[in-house]
Amino acid sequence: MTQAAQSGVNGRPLWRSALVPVLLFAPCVLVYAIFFIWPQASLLGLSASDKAGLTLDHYGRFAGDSYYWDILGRTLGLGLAVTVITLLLGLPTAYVLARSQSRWAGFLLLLTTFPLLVSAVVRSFGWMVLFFKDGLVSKALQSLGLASGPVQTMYTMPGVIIALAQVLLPLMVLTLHGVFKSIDRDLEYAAMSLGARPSVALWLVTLRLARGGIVAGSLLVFSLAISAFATPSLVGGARANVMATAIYEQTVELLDWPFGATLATILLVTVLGLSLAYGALIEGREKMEARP
Amino acid sequence: MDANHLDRRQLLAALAASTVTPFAAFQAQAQAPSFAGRKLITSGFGGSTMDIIQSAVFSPFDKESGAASTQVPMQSAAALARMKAEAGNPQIDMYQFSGGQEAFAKDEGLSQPLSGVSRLATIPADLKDPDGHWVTWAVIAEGIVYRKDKIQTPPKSYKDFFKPEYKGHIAFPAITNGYGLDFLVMLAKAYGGSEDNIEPGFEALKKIKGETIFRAASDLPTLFGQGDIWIMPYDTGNTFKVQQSGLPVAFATPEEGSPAVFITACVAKGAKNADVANAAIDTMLKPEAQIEIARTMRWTASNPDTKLPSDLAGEVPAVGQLAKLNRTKINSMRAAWTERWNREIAR
Amino acid sequence: MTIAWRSPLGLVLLVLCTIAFVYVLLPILVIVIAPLGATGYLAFPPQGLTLKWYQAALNDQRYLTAVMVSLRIAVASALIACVIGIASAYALTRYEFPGRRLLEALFLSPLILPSLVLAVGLTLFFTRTGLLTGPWRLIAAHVVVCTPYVLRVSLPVLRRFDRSLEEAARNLGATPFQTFFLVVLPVVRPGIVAGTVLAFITSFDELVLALFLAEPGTPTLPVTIYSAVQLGFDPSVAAVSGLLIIATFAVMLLYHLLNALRQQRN
Repeated sequence: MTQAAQSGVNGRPLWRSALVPVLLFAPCVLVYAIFFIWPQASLLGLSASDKAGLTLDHYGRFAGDSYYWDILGRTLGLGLAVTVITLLLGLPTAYVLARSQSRWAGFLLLLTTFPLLVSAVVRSFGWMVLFFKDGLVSKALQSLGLASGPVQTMYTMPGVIIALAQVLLPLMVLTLHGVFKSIDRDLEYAAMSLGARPSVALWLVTLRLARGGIVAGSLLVFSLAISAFATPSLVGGARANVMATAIYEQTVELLDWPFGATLATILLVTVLGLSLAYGALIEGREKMEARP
Repeated sequence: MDANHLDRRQLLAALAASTVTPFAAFQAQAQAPSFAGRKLITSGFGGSTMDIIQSAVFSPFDKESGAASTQVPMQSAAALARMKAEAGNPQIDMYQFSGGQEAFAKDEGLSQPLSGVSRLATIPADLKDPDGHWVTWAVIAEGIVYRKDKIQTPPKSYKDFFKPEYKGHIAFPAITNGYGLDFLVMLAKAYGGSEDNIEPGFEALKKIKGETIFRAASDLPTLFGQGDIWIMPYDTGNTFKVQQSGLPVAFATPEEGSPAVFITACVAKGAKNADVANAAIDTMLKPEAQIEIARTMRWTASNPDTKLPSDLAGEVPAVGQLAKLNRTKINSMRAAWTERWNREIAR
Repeated sequence: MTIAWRSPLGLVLLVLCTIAFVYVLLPILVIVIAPLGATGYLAFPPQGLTLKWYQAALNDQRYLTAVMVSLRIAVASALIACVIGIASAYALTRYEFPGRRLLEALFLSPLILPSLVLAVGLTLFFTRTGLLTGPWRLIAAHVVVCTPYVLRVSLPVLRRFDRSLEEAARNLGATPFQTFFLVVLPVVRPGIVAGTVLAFITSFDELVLALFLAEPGTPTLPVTIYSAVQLGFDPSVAAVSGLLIIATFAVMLLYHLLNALRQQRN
C-alpha cells in the first residue's frame, strides 16, 4: 500500500526508501519552519500572554463579546458567498475553456487573470467609480427598473462580495482548468457509452471526476476571501468589518498586539478546522466509494 | 514646477545669505556637519506630499550635508506599527507622524530625545515634547470641506452637519482615521461636551450614522466627484488637493474652532543615523522650508520666525488661530472610543 | 466527445461563461478607459478625452523602476515557491504517512492568515535575528505566501494523475527522477504552470508584506501605487495599471498570433 512497504518488498532498507520523501519535503519544511512557524508562533503566542505571564483573558474578551462573534460570522459568510459565486461562474468557464477546440482558449484563460494584474488599491478605485450613487451600477439598476432611486453599493457588504469574487474568480478558473484538462476524455466517453445521456449526466460525471479540484478551488478562494484586507477595507469602508480589518485595527491603529494576535489565532484555527473537516469529508467519501 | 520652486528657494537662500554678516555666515557653515556618504532613512506620507517634502526639505538638506535621504511611504499608524516591530534594531532612522503617534512612540520607549537641533528652542512649548522626543514641524488646520456649487452659504459650525437639506450628502471619516476621532471630539464640544465628556459627541454622531463613512483621504476626490457628497469634516491641505483635481470645493473654519493636527518628527531609538536625522529635523524647522511647505501644501508653519509672504498669509491659518485639543486625553481614550464607535456608529 | 454546446445545458454553460468574462473584464475596462477622461478624479464613462494621465504615468520614472523591482522579486519568489512547492506536492500525493493531512494543512495555512499578521511577525523576527538583508527579506516572505498557491493548484492535478503510468515507467527501469521528469511532469504541467503563474502574480501584486519588508529606497510597484494614492487618487495611478494591462495584453496577443502563424506554416 505505501511506498515504504513496496520498497521493503524489493529488498531495500527502510531508511533509504524514507530518504526520498524526506528530501522532497526538506526545502519546504525548512523555509516554513524559519520564515513562517517561528515568527508567527512567537507573534500568535502574544495572544496567550500579558505582562504577568500566561493568560486566557484575550480569548475571554473575544468569547464574551457578541460584537466579535458577529465579525467572525460576517467573515465566514463573506467567504462562503464569494466561494459560491466563484464556483457557479468558475465551473462553466473552466470547463468551456478546457474542452474548447478553439485556438483562443489558452488566450482567453490568461485573459481571466487580468484582475490579478491590477493592484488591489487601483481595483478598488475602479469599483468605487461603478458603485457610487452616480455610478454605472446604480444607473443600470434604475434603468432596468430594479431600483426606484439611486443605489449606493460602495461601502456595503454586497459591494465587498462582488469586488472580492471578481478578483478571486480567476483563481477558481485556473485551479479547475488544470483539473478538467487532466481528466481523460475517454472517461467521459466511457460514462456516455455506459448509457449516460449526453449533457446532464456527462456534466455530473465530469464534476465528480473533478471533485478534488472543486475542493481545492473552493478552499483556496475561501481562505483568500476570509483573510483579504484591502478590498473589505477600501470597498467596504467602516461598516463592513471583518476579521482582517479588525486585526488591522487592533494591531496597527490601536497597537494592541496581544488582542490582534488573538483574533488572528481564532481565524486561523476556525478555518483550519473547517478545511480539514471539509477535506476529510470529501476524501473519506472517495475512499468509501473506491472500496469494491 | 519643481524647478520653479527650487529657483525660488535658492533665491530666498541667497537673499538670506546676503543680509547676514559674513562672520555669521561663516559660523553657520562651520556648524553645518558633513554627512558625505551617509544615509538617512525616514518614513514619509506618500504621494505628492512625499515629493513636495523631498524637494522642500530633504533635497536641500542632502545638498548641504552630503547625505542621501530616502523616504519610505507609510501611513502614520502603519509606520508606528513598523517602528514597534523594529524596536532595538530599526531600519528606519526617523519617523514622521500626523495622528499623535509620536506620543505612543515615546511611551513605548521607541524614540530617543532630539539632540543638537538648534531651532528646537524657537518652537513654542505646546508644539513639542517637554522631554524633547518629538517636535511639530508643520500644522494642518481641520475644519469643514464643502461643495461651493451645492452649498451657497459657507457652513459656520459643526452643527451644520445636522441641517436637513444636507441629508444624504454628508460624509465623515471613520474613527481610525485621526480626522474621524477629532470630528467626534468637536461634535462633543459643539453640543456642550469636551474631551472629558464625549457623550454629546456620540449622541450627535448617532443622528448621522446612516451617512457615508469612509476610511482614507484618498477617497476624497471620488466622494466629491462621483459620490454626490456636499459636506464633510477634513482639512485645508486636502481641500487644496481636491480643488486641484478640478472640483468646486472650499474650506470653512467652524466657530467651534479649527483643530490643529501636528505633523511631527522623531528619531527611532537605536537609529544608525540618528545624527543625520537630527540635522534633517533642524532643516525641517527652517523658515524657508516651512514657507515652501505652506505654499505647496497649505500646511501651517510651526516655527514662529516664519514670515509668510502676503499672498500666502490669507490662505494658511496661523498656529495661534487654531484650537489645540487635549491630545493626551484623546490618546488615552482612543481605544475605548474606537470600541464604542464600532458598536454604536458603524453598525 | 464533450457536452454539445447547442444542447440546453451547453447553452447554460456558455451563458454563464460569458457572464463570468463580462464580470471579470468590465472593471478592468473601467480602469483602462477611465484615465482617458479629463477630470482630475476617476469617472466612468470618462468626461472629455485626454492622454495626459497616461503620459504622466509614462513620464514618471518611479513607476518603471518599481515595475523592475517587482518583477525581480516576483520571479525569484515564484521560482523558489515552484520548486519547493512541487517537491512537497509530489511527496504529499505519493507517500502515505501519519500526519500527512496536517502537514498539507500547515503548508496551506499562510493563505488564511491576513498578510498584516505575517508582516508584523516577520518584521519582529528579522529585527531580532538580523537574518537576511536587502531584497531577500521580502523574497523570503513572498515565498511563504506564494508556495501555498503552487501546492493548492498542483495537488489536485497530481492526485488525478494515473499512477499506473508511473509504475510502468519504474518497471521498465526508469529512475525516479527520469520517471518524474519524463512521465509525470508532461501530464501535470498545466497545473504546475498555473500554480507558478499564480505565485508570480501574487508576489507581483502583494502590498502589505512589501510595505513592512521591502528595502528602503526600492519600493515595489504596489507600494509605489499605494504611496501615490495616500492623499487623493489621481487618474495617472489608474493609468499605471492601465499600461500594465495594455502591455500584457499586447504581449499575449503577439505571442498567440505568432504561434498561430507558425502552426499554419507547419
